[in-house]
Amino acid sequence: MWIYEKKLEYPVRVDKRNPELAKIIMTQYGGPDGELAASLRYLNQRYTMPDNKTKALLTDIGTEELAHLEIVATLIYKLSKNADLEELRAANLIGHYTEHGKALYYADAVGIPFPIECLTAKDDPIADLQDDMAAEQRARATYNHLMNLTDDKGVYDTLAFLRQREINHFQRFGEALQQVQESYACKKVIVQGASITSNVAVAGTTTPNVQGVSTSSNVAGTSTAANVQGTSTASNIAGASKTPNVSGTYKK
Amino acid sequence: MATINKNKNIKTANTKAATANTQTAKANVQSATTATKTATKTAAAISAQMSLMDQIQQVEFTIYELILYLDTHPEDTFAIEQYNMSVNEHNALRAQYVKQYGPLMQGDPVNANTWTWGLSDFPWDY
Ligand SMILES: [Fe+2]
Repeated sequence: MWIYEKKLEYPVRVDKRNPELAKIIMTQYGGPDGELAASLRYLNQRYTMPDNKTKALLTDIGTEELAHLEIVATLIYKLSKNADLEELRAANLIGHYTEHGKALYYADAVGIPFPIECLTAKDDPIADLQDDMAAEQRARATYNHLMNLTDDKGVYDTLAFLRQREINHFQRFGEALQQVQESYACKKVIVQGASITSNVAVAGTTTPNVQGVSTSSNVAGTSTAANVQGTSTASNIAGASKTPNVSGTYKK
Repeated sequence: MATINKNKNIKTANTKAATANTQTAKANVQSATTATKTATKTAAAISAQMSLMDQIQQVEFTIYELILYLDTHPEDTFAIEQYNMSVNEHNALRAQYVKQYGPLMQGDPVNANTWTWGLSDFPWDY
């Protein structure tokens, strides 16, 4: 079961009303790479994961994404609170106002409603975890774009926190993927025949590349964001890129 | 035979990765502490309640980071130690907050004659 806590995971400070910014941040609320999609995807995939460890990770990250969903909602709500009709018109939110008034709605930055088909699930831990890693990177990229589009320091700080969480989730999913691959490879736990082993071989060679490349490009593009959030996460990224043995264990 | 060698390599590499990750966890804990210091300073000016909430959020973040780390490194005793320490700290701060400002969660005690759960503001309103 879940229990609600009447608090945010991370404080939200909005320096100035800005409905236009609210509109674009909406994509992390109801867009295909947003927090709703992430949470629902992980919480749904966990049932068919091969071991309790991976089920735990998907449960815990899926739950954290729900906390992020509330943070994003708070950003949108605060940024558009008390906006008058002229401001909504200027922010291109008049269509949203017609349909939903000032209510929040699960849609992306251009108003397209939440696309259910983004909730992939294949009953295949390698396919699912690879997809989850890609989802984390897409979410990170979206936060990058949003950070480029805001000069509100409070909002920027919260976005930087959320962006950093995506990087940490990516790291954990990568470890889970590697462990799943190892347990197939080492113990030869072959439930469904040889197809699984050949999967492992293919996935095993590609993973370290994926991780190495994407994390190092993260570091280059986002030094300020990492600084804002604090050294913890910064050293995280630096560590991953400089010592590829964290992620690129298959190298030798 | 190639398989055996590969497995061996994986094991060695894994141990390395675990060490690197323990350092990551250490760094995370340290920075959370530093962040608590800086964040507390600004929040204290706003209100004592916010300041206490800020501390709770900081410790909770450390816990959350350690939980995800431990999900993939369940045998890292250093991280488990850090986790238990943070949980104790979190419990103390939370108890203090709930006593002073009312329940944060279903199951928290209500130290008043009114049902304060439904009266206090929701986080998007403060
Ligand atoms: Fe995430």
